[in-house]
Amino acid sequence: MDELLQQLVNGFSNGAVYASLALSLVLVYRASGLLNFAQGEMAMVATYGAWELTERDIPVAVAIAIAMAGSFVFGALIERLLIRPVGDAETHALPLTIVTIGGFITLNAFAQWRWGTAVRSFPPLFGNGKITVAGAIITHQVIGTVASLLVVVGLLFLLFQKTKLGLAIRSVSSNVESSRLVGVPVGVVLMVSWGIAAAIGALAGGLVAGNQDLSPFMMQFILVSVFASATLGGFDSPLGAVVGGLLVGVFEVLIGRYVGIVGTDLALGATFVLILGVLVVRPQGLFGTAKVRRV
Amino acid sequence: MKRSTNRVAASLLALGLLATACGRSDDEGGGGSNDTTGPAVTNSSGEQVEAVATTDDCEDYAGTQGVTEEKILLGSSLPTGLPFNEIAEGAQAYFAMRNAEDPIAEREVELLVEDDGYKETETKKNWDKLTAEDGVFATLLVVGSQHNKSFQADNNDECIPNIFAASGSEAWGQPGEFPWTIGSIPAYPTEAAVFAQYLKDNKPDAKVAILYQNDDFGKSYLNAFKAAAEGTDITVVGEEYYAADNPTNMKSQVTALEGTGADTLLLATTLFACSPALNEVALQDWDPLTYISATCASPTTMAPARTEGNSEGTLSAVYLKAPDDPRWADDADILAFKEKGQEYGLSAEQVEDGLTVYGWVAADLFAQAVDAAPSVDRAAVMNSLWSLEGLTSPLLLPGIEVATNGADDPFPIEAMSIAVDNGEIFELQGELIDFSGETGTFIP
Amino acid sequence: MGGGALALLENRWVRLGAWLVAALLIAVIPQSFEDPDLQIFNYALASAVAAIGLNLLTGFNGQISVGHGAFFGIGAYTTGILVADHGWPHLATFVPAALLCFVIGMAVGLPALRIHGAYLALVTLAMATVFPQLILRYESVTGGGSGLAVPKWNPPDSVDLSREQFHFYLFALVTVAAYLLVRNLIHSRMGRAIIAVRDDETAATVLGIDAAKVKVMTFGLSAALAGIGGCLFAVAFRSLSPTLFGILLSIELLVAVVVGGSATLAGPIIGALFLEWSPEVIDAGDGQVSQILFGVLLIALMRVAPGGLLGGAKRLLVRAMPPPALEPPDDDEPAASAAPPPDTVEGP
Repeated sequence: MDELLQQLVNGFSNGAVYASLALSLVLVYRASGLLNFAQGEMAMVATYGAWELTERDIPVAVAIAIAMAGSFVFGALIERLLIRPVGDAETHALPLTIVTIGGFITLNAFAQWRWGTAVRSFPPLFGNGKITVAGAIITHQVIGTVASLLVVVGLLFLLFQKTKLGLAIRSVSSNVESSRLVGVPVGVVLMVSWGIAAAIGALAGGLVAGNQDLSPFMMQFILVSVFASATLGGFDSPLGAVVGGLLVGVFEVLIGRYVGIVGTDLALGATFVLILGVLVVRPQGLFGTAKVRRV
Repeated sequence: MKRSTNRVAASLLALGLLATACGRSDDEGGGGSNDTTGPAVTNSSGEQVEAVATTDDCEDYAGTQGVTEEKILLGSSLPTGLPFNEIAEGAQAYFAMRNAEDPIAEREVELLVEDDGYKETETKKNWDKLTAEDGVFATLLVVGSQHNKSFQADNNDECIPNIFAASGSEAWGQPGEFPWTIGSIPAYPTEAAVFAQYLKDNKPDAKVAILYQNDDFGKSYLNAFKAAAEGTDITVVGEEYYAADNPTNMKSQVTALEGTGADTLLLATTLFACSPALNEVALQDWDPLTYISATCASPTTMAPARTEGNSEGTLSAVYLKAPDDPRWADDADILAFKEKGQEYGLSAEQVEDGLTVYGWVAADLFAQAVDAAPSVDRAAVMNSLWSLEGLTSPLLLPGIEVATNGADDPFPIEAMSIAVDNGEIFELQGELIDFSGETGTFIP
Repeated sequence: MGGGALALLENRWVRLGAWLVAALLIAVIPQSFEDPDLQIFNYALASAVAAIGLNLLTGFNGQISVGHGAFFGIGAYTTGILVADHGWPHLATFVPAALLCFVIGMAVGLPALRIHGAYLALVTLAMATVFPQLILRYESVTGGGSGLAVPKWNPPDSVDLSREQFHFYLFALVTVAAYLLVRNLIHSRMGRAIIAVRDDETAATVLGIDAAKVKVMTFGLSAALAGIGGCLFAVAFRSLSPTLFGILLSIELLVAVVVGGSATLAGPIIGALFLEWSPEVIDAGDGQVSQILFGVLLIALMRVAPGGLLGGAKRLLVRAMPPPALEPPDDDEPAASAAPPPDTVEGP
């Protein structure tokens, strides 16, 4: 077996997991200019919801779809009830960050209280199969995960570029005040954006749990890598999140395995240094849009 | 601790001193003479042996704190939200039984349990409160390595026993430096040696790959296994580690280990890493003879691997009678435990849990150590614990003798049997592998 | 708006009163609490010094860091290693700890010249990620996963204080010193530059402020204070292990700053006390339910007082007191601004 090829696949598989959550993170940042520390925990709770349904013999695809719908409402409500009353991210970034940290603590403790800390198996959406390409093993779940993410990115592109709602979302994310002036219902748009992000988060949770296991800590274990992915790709780019996730996954594995002086323990750190290098050249990340500063 | 009335003045003085003095570091405490335990004590067989725990250097030694004519007060700190709570409840049920039926040292024993959420800062706060405010005699069954370490210097300086630390770190086997801390479960090095012995007997030319958690837990297994394999035909052909805070991602490590051509795999993994490790090995179509840390051998940690059918044939080691193992279904001791346990507060579910059995057995051994001590005094009990001779407990595997002898043999339980996963539970397999008195030789 | 209240807050006598209350608390707390509870105050003061440092960076200079736990850890390990392995007196280790953190802080601050907001936060997050791994890797120096035991710092024989009381006075002294340092800095020319860079970097540059120098220096100073906080922690906790200094700690420090009141002088101290005492006070009998309550409390608090506890208190005071006519602006206390500080995380 060619180890390098398998290691590339390993990195790709890890990256698919990072990319899933990074996508959800990026959508909130686009809408509200906010790093949502609770995004992973929202996805985790949604996945427990889906798991409850699968335990009642509902097919996993349907369970995830229901969790996505529920998360859409949940996400929209969070924006309306918890985020907006505090203020907007330009002036209230710190208190908003603390709100998301509070959300993180609450949701994580809730999951431990409600479902315990036991690790559970979650049925993979794309089955338990795997294929072997040139000696390297890759699971259907990983292929399905990346394919789903690309489909989601494509749908988001269509939504943003081809629909009135998408136009409104883009308008709000570039300038709230002028959007309001031209009659865009800013509040509704923000709620919808958070709803979409949470729904995609629920999908991400289902995909991650299918690749790994379901536990209240499943998202914490990958959160730093997910942040790294979003940074590399650019905080306001869905495509960037996916590409960033895959790149971070592959970097991490290759550096950890083949750069002896770095090793597995510092692989993530070394990946950060690479990202830093990218940011020095492109402060907005690979696919992000540069901010124009008004003087 | 008493407070004098002129503390305010002293405080102001202290503030002044701080501005000039550089302070001093002092390991020996503020002085103050204490009762001294003689150099010789009586062990559990009535022989005279050298005392391990002496009280000469104790800070404010209070040998009988927490003990009255009627009562012994103990404390513990563990994550009550995690399944670890069963440990404390198993011990509490045992004490409840003894209080009602056959009081230990003619006293009622109470075990206070504080939650630490598995955070070592909280463990230390709990220890401070239990010893200074609740005034416990000793702490018992505190869960976690770093958690026990967080107060190890304090309980040894103040000579407050920390009995049966619920972790297999070899750090609890240093009576020379830490005579007031003693462990309980077989130390991780013992377990690694047990697996090495199994290989010597069954697969003497094994090529072993080791996947370990990158901390003292994982390195205990790594170093001890290498020490035990030295001079045999067993070779360690690969070692990889994973970070404790990223326990679900081991793809790269498994690929690398498989590439070494190993035919045997030692998984020094715990908690959240147990099932992912087994699942990843199966996913990559690798089929080595696999041994997994005994810390993984609980239904909750094994569940995902079992659900996905990746656990069968995995080896581990046990030293307790597992209440869910059909082998013991008609065992009189297990039946008695289930009956008494439920009579004294355990649920029907709890008496099926190995962690509950562990708490029960530890409480039983504590009771025997107290009985063997000449008095219920901290130094006397501690010295009794350091000189146990051939204690048994009904729920230990038949043949296991609990023995200690100060620095020469600081680990109470050093025998285990290999068990094999049958897809649902770990089933006992083969004979007891006994390293009594030898664990130290596997610790580099 | 509320000029009357602000004027009151800046009144010399009111301030003197506040100092007296603080001094009284410092004198009384060690006499009123048992040692285990006093220890919790000591942990809180250690965090407070670090939070004062983080506030300088995040509150006054507008650079978010989620990596200050690493500096706290560097300080703690510097004290631990020098005292345990090299026999240094505890107090003497504070100097190299602060210097080391200052230098590393400036180095970490360099990318901030080009990278902003959430992107910068990620750079600091990297530090929090790497630090525990380095401790594990350089085991022979740090003790690795087995931990490092720090020898006790006992009170001198001549004073009749328990160790916890002695530490409390010492820590209070260091906290007051850190507070004064930041207060005097903020009121200096450099301090005005720090705030100007936060409010509008371009405008500050136009005014002749060397924004790059200001940012890097602030990062270094902030890190040095976080390091000293770590030294105090090492003195109080005395059992160091890498798991103590993970990302969680960095996030807790940020929470302490914002909950107390970012860009206020006393806020970080209040926030650190709040954070350390909440788990003691919020006890629902079940660890997880208590955690849920704590999370909800954080969310609720940010809703009613986005400026933090101190910011919220000031706003209440401002509301309660009608403004007198034509209050002259007073820039003596930039911290007293009732409006929450603007921040540099760039919205889209």
